[in-house]
Amino acid sequence: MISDNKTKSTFLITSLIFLILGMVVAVTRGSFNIPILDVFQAIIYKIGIGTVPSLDNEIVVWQIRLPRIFLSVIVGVALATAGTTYQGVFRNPLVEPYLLGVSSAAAFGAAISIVLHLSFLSMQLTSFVFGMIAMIFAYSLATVKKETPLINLILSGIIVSAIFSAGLSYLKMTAGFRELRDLVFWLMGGFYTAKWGDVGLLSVLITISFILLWSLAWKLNVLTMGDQEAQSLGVSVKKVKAVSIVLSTFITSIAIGTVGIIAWVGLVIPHMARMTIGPDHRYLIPASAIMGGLFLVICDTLARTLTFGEIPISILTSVIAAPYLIILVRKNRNLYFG
Amino acid sequence: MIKINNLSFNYGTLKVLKDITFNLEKGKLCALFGPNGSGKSTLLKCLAGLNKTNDGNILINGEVLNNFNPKELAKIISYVPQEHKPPFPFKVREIVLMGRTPHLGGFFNPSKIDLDFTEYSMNTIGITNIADRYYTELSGGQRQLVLLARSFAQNTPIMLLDEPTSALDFRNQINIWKTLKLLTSKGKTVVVCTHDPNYVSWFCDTVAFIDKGALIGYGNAKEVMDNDILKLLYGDICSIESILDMKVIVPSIS
Repeated sequence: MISDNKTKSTFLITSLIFLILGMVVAVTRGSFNIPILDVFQAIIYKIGIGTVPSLDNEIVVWQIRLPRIFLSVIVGVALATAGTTYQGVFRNPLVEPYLLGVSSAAAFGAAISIVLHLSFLSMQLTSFVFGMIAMIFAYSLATVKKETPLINLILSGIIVSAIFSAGLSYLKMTAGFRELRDLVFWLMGGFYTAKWGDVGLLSVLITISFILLWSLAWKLNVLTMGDQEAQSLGVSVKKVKAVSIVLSTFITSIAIGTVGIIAWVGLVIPHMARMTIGPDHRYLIPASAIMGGLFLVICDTLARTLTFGEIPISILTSVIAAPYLIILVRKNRNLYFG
Repeated sequence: MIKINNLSFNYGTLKVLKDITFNLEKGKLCALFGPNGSGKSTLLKCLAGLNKTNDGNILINGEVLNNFNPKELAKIISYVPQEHKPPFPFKVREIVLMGRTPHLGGFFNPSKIDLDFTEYSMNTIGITNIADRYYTELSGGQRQLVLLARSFAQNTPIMLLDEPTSALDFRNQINIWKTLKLLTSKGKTVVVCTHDPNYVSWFCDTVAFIDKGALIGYGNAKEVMDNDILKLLYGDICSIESILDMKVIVPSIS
């Protein structure tokens, strides 16, 4: 684990450079590879300088790959940041939005929007609304006498998740043929539908939420000591908790509402980041965000290049992340099970 | 400094504290003394503003405790809980730095003053040698010292400590009590929950005896700690002897 703060900053800058490199490599890779210079040409031509690129290159770079890459990065940032925040607020390294039923609920919300033909923006909105409902429901279900033990939280998360999965099944059953097809494709999760519109909207919302969460970093540190201790150290516990939970649920839901459920990122990336840079949220939150973005860019690039078709991205994230988590949990048993 | 007026507190329907009234003076080391489950820790949490009182009130320098927001209160009162293990491996130095939280500005980047104060606190409590260790890997006693240093770094006029020496070795126990005594001589008001009658009579200025949620005695520690009150609290198991002008509570031999 990195211990001094200067090295931590260096690590952050280095990983940011890696993220950008990853993105650049990702643009050049695909069902046909485009040399880096042609990519560059296509991009600067858009800004208004340089010579006209070939039409193919322009379309592939500008309309297909770039929005997709940006979307995967911003979604990775959202999921990893939300996971980190959840783990800090709930004081447990095993919590993530997925476990509290937020993901299933957000998926249910998006499915409603698909089945009822609501406009596209409302897909993120319905995801958020149902994601919040799930989170509040799970949290209040788990709270007994003002305490929220983790085991209750996980159980109520399972319950809430089950309710919304049932709702989703019902929606599938009643959906028409076309809606059903849309729904099934969307549920598999993936970035192949990426458009600049989504990228713009998500970038703005997620960046703002990220900055707000980052600004709470020190208070999150104190919060991991427990509610009462945090209060005695001058933190307005309820306010900080509410703000950080709502913001993380918000970014998770809108990310899921746009690209479908992508498993594991919110759980494993914060872990990796904490292993590398330590639990101080001032460094952990940005580290997690960058690693989340990089992880999804890599997975998505693999998803579209490994085979002739496209592998659903959740398969890749699971295949990579699940074994990592198994090793982690077995190595640090007492960290998770007291 | 602290006035407690007719304080009552319930956990749900369970009455934990009943009608407690007494005053704590500035610059005194005060013990809350009583058997297990008597309500000492609950009273301490009420003083720290962590338990909202059901009846009665607490005045800090004449102002009602409940009117302070957490940040204001944390500049006046620091609270050392019983030691426990948090979920994430923070370093000792980072934990102590958390004591500076109420003094930090907007974006929570500690200034040089905060960092210096952190080092100074660790130095005073004598834990500089473990500053770079992970808090989660320490022994219970070492964690108590770290929490104490954190409270010291918070630099408040009032310090509340919940059994700060329960897991410490003999040397550290004596050192901590001496440190607390030193702090009071510099004008701080220190309230300590404790089980040990000897330390109460050796180091404390005043003592409040709590039994079954009620205050059964309060006064100068040298005077009120006597065989009658010990008998009331514990029955016939111990008695007070005098050695070198100091009271020593010894088990009764029968």
